[in-house]
Amino acid sequence: MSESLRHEILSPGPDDGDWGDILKRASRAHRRRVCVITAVTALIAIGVASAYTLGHPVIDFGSAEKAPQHVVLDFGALDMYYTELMRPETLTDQARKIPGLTLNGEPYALYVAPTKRGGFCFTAGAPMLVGCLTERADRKGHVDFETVGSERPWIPGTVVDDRVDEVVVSYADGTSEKIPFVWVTEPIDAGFFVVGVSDEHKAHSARPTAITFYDAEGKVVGGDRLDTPRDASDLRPK
Amino acid sequence: MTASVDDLEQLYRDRYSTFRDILSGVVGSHDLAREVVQEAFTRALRERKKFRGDGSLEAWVWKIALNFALRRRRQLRREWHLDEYEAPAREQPRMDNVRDAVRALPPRCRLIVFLRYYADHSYTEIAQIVGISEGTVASTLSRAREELMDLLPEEEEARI
Repeated sequence: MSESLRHEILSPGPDDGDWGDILKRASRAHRRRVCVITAVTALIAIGVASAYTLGHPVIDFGSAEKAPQHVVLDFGALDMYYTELMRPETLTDQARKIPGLTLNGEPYALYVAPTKRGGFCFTAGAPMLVGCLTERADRKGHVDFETVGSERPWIPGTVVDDRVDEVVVSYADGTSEKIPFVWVTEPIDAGFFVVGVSDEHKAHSARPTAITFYDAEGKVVGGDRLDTPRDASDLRPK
Repeated sequence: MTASVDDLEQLYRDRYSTFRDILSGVVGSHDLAREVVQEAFTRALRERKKFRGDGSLEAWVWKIALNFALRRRRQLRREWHLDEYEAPAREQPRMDNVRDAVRALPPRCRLIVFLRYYADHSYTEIAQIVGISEGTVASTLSRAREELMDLLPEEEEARI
């Protein structure tokens, strides 16, 4: 095929290749893996609250504590709630307990398990929140969250974009704060966070309005507006 | 056999534009295609030890890139399936130029045309990249040629 015909079919783009960018991206992923053992050791040695001084902890899935039997059964029951086409097919024997999250100063119980189709299911907190992400590729830049509870509302979520270095919640009063999150290695390969809605942010004028993801260079790589009702006291489980 | 960093860098420098331009036909823009290419080569660099040498390094990276492109395409909520080639209905309007005719081809057919005539891949490599048999590559290209032949200048017909 002649060059002119090729150009007619497919317009050539600018000369914007950058091998240095490839090396940077690859080294970011490597740094995340190198931090795994350090982060886990730090969590054990210095406690959960201090671990966030390391950035976000990276939890090695393979080394994490196995989930208790009642959680394994909960994961196994998930398939009952889905149609055959949508069943997550959780690998329940691989369920793990993931440390590192707190909610209002208390440890936040998080359990995860991979699924046959490359996604994952998780169950967290009290009251229990259960969810699955079966098509992770479609959710790379989004927040997966539920707003639960009427007395102590909180916003749990997942992140499946490994570029994410910071998760920030914004409020209607113009303030914002960074949310700690933990990253779990493959086969889960996702991050988990939970942010409690404090008393000062329950009023409509100061309610949480968005969660935004930033990469290591401070660039926005995803996020979502929060679908919160007018009054935080009206929050209901979805 | 694994791929070396130097091999991947050389491939990138030699073929970046081809990857980017073909993938722009998949994801819809040069900017998105660039992002897909960067992600694909990053993944290839991180997982270069998984390259077994049972095909060309470029075909291996193409498979990675195509997966990223399809995922990005789904993210954009556009329907993009690697469908079987189907002959167009007789009532379809005649295309005025080759570009429109190529773009009207079913997605998998279009991709195979790009990989063959734009990226100069062999039937074997195309089969590896797309995950189909060489026979299907051949029949797909044959049908695409029939579709495009009427629109090509005489001097181009001989090159297809």
